[in-house]
Amino acid sequence: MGTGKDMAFLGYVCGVLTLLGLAVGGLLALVGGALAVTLRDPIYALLGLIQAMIGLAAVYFTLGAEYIGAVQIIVYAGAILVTFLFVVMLINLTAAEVSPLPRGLPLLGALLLSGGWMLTLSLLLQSILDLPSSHQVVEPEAGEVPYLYGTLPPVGKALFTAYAFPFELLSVTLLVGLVGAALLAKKPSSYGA
Amino acid sequence: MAPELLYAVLTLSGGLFSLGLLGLLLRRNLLLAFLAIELLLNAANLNFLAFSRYHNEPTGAVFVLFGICLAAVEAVIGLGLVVRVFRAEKDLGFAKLSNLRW
Repeated sequence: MGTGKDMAFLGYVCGVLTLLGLAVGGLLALVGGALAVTLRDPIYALLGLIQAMIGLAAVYFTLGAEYIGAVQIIVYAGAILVTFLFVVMLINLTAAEVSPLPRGLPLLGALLLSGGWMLTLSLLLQSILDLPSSHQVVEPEAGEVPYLYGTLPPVGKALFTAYAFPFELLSVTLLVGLVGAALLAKKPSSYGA
Repeated sequence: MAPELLYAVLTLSGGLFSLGLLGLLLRRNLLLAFLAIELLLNAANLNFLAFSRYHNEPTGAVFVLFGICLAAVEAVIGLGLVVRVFRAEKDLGFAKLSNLRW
């Protein structure tokens, strides 16, 4: 084990790495999001959104939520957005068919509305700025390895004990989505009436 | 986690939500409006995880998992609708999709 000085240095390095991960991931997410809402070509907009998802996954990893970060990459970037990509290619949507972003009054209104929303959020943050530091570290039992909240063991335990019923409901919801999508994607003439 | 870090992450989440809202308001195309909705959902997920980290307990992570599953269902149903609308109208612009307008 290192001395106290070594541990302090290690803590400092961890802090710097955390900030760096947050900054890089956050920047990736914001730039990707901005590209996703402004680019005209749907494929490029989608790629921007995928970049945002991967940046967000970096932020999740930095926050210690390893499992959710992996799920974010596999399910969000890998499955949901690729389904979007399939649909864009299926209906052959190109930049020529997408009307450009509106200029003048609608643009001004949308900017004001989302900017006002951002301002409201930051004011809310100000009002909770004197939040007590309630960083509760659960003391591990003797001989037990302490887990961070976002690793698989605590998440799985919560998922299958306290949230077992919502979890089962979710599987029903997925089934409903599956059947609904199959029904929606059928040719209109191929079912009754 | 230090409160300052929580505020930084919440601000990032707020920025992403605003971007998504902006996209939802500005896009005149059904499919691209759906993209903006995905951004909104992700901003909410980031908030869950920030507070989960702050209180060091896994509830937020569990809810993010639920959120991702629901986003998958939403995307599948929404994209099915997009394909159906495209088949019927040959266009996804909001200017032409006025059949449901009262």
